[in-house]
Amino acid sequence: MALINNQKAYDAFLVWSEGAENIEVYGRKIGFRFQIRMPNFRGNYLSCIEELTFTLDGEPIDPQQTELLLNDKRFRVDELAQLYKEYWNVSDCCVVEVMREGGLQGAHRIGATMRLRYGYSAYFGVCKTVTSKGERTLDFTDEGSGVA
Amino acid sequence: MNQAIKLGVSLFSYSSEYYLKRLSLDETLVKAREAGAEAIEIVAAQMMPGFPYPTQAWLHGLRARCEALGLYPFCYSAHLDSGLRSDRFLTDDEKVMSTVNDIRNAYEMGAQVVRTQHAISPELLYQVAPWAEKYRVKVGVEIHPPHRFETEVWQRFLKVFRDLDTPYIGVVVDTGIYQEYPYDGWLEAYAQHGVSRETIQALLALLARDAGVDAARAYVAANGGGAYARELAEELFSLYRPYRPDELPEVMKYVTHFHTKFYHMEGGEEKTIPYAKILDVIVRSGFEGYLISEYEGHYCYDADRYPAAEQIRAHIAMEKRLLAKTREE
Repeated sequence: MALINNQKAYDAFLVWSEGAENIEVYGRKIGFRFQIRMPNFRGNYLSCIEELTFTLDGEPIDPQQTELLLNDKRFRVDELAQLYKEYWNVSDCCVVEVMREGGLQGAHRIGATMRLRYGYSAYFGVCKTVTSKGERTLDFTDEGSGVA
Repeated sequence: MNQAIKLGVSLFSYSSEYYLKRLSLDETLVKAREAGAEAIEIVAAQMMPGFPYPTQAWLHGLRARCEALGLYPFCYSAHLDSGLRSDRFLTDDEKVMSTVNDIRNAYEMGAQVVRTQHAISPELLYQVAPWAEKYRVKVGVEIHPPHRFETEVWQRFLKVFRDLDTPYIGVVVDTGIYQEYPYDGWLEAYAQHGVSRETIQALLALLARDAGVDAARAYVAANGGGAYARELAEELFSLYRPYRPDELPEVMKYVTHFHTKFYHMEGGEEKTIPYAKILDVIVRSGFEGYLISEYEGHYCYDADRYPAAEQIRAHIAMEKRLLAKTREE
């Protein structure tokens, strides 16, 4: 596989600039959410996502406290491998919700890593997989625009 | 002589602006028309809401919006995602039915061609052909770098085209297979990964002499090049070579259309692909159909500095100029 990957330009947008905010229930912050993009020129089946992990200020976020909102449905990361009928359109932002009592205040570094299998690349009996990494500082203050 | 050659644009050309939501699908259609396109190709997996099952209403709407602008929704560009499942590859039957789904979508949007990929395999085309004929939609397998017509799988495809001898099964020719040199942005990526300018220049000189990959490997080994230098040597000689005539004139009757690939227009020219020679072959063969401009420089050229719309406009202008010149001769 080529070391120089022409899809790398999309990694910068894996963590998207919009939509960062706290999750409030009855005035209490029970978690936070942010958005990610498909780091590829085209959409892909969710089953092609072989790995998806997140970090908060460099520390791993527990996948058991994480849910993905896409196509008006909710998914856990460990379900992705089975979702070969679920398509992530490249224009759609996937919302990542993280349960965390108290939510977040101010600016925080959110990181994401996605290993994506290119389902159309099985020319020689094995598919090309590409790992994308992205990090962006997002503003979680209540009045914040989302971008720090 | 070349009155029947028409020009179009693949909306894939606007990938960067589309991804960043600076251009909507409808805005790319307007840009394509403004650039002089008479037809478009759309990458279904990229731009169709509800893919792989966009609604009939959406597909009819796309057709209507194209026609209102004077654009022919000429080609539905399909990927064959044979590795979409985590547990196994698609079976042959699933690959055929995935392509039938593409044919049906293309039929609904009023397209003449489904572009598919060589992963479909030559042999499955025998099963696809009756569906293509039923819906009167051509299925064109794209020949794309690093493949060329002499590549083994393509010799098998050409045999199947001759066997079937139907206007509904053929080949989409990506002119990238005739690319002679890499574009600057691609070389720059290697330079940024530590490959010295001296090594890059030396390898390019070997490429220009058609010296062969062994000479390139020997140069890198003798000069202590690292992994990126070794990769550059392999990729250079796998993807590029000085232009030489091939079987194109003989297989022209199976060509559904051309992807006139390009990476960077400067001063009205694309310097890495010998368009004057290629268009001359196409015109002299009597080909009638579409040249679909496909800008791929968005992977490494900044969209702010080089907007896709400007690059496309310049490319279509070049094609018109070269076609007019060929006609005069």
